[in-house]
Amino acid sequence: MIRISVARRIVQIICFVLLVYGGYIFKDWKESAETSQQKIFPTLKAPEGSVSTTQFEKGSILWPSGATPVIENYPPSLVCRFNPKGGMFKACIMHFLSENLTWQTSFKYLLPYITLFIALCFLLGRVWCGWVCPIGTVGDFLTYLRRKMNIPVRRFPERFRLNLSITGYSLMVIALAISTVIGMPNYARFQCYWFLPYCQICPARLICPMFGLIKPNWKDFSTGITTCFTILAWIVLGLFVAAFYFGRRVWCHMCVVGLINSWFNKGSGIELHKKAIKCIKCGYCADACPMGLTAMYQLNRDAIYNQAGCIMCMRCVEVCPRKGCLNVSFFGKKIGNMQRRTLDAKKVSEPVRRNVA
Amino acid sequence: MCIPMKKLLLIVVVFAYVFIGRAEQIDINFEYPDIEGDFYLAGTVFFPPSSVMSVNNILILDTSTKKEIASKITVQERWPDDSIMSVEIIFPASSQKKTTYTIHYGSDIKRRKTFSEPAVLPTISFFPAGAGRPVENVDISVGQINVRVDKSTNIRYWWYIVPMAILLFLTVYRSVRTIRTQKL
Repeated sequence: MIRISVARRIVQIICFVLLVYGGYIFKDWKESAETSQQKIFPTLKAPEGSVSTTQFEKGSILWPSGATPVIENYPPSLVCRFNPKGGMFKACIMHFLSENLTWQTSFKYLLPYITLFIALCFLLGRVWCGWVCPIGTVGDFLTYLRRKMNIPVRRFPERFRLNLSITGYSLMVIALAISTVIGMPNYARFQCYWFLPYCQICPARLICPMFGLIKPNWKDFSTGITTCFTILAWIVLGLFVAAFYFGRRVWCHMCVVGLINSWFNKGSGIELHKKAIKCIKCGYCADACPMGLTAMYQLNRDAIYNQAGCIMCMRCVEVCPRKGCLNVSFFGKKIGNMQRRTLDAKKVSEPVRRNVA
Repeated sequence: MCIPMKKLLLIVVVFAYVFIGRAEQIDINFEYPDIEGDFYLAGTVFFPPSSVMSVNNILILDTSTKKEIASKITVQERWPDDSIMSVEIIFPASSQKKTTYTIHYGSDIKRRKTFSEPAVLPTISFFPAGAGRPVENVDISVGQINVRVDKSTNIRYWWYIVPMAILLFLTVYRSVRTIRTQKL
């Protein structure tokens, strides 16, 4: 039986190739798909003469790719608009919300997209983060490099992770507020600087084009605002890369798409079950968790363990040495036996004991 | 066909010729240069709306010989009804044979002499007298405005509220259940 971590790596690589290089792979298909999907999903476009469409031409800070994606939709993953050749899907949900708040698109035209987004979140929760997200895959690759360099992983305290989430939510609120304000007629002239404010500092905007050997627009010092955005983007990218050399999936705590996705995680179809009677408090689950969560280890009762921060990588299930202690189910139906470790629980994970105790 | 009908037809044809097949004339001004031999005369000429539809309805005439001069005419701008607004005209002239030139345009004008690749010669600018602007008022048709109210989409997309509400309800219900199991 294939190990769950191996299966996850395979899925991650396939999803990465599809999402990032979809524009190249399905080049012919995307032209015919553009017309067929209009019946279900309305076309979302900027108003005629909008500054947001006239200012950001090829070569500008928000237009490194410029190509249309294969599917004009928004899955619950950090699918960047700036993928080479447009990528497989249109953009992430933050991009979708920001641009449509600025364009003042009628809510009824957003409904089909929002409904599909909620449906996908409801089905799989943050599996989209742990298994599909291309930026998460890049992060896991950086973690792999850290392990190869024998740099020890750091476990961040609960408060630090909470602060990261608060930072993520703050950025989200600020970005959406700016997008709303510049959509008002009196402030429309600011769209040339403030359009898609979150995208302007998101590391995905700089990382994704590079995979298509497209040179992203690294700098724009033409005005004070663009200079600020350029410097902020560098800082965030630096923190994104550096964070993976200290901990695992640090960025995922403050990723805006992940935070939106986390609202659905407790009610999603994918569930992690714990049978407390079989738990021997070895601490392997908490030790293996890339998000640094310890709630699974701390639970002392039979429960559905679906935390907002859990990215559903299922490493905890894989490393649990007790058969039947941790299970994965999809709408109540148990998904196979995913356990790998069968050794006796005498060898208790010391780092976890030190941190949790 | 009876005689009155023929007369009527003749009158209609004459009127049609007078009102539809019209030709206008623009004089051009320039100074002969102090050079020996041939040179080019070049300039921009404007036309009133709906007067010239093609560059083949413009020709240059030598006023002394009343013969057409070969010319290269390039359209620069068009009016909203797709008629020509301005053209750039270039044609050869000679300093040995001093004469004047006129530009003729209209639907009954047919240009026959053209050239595409002018030789390397000095070029002198000319200025059209009157610039082809009409004395009377100019009516410009910008087409009709069509307004389409698509009522079907108003309801079509609002229906997505139903599955969205169901999904949100299920999410909240399942979340509450998950939280309860953790708090028991």
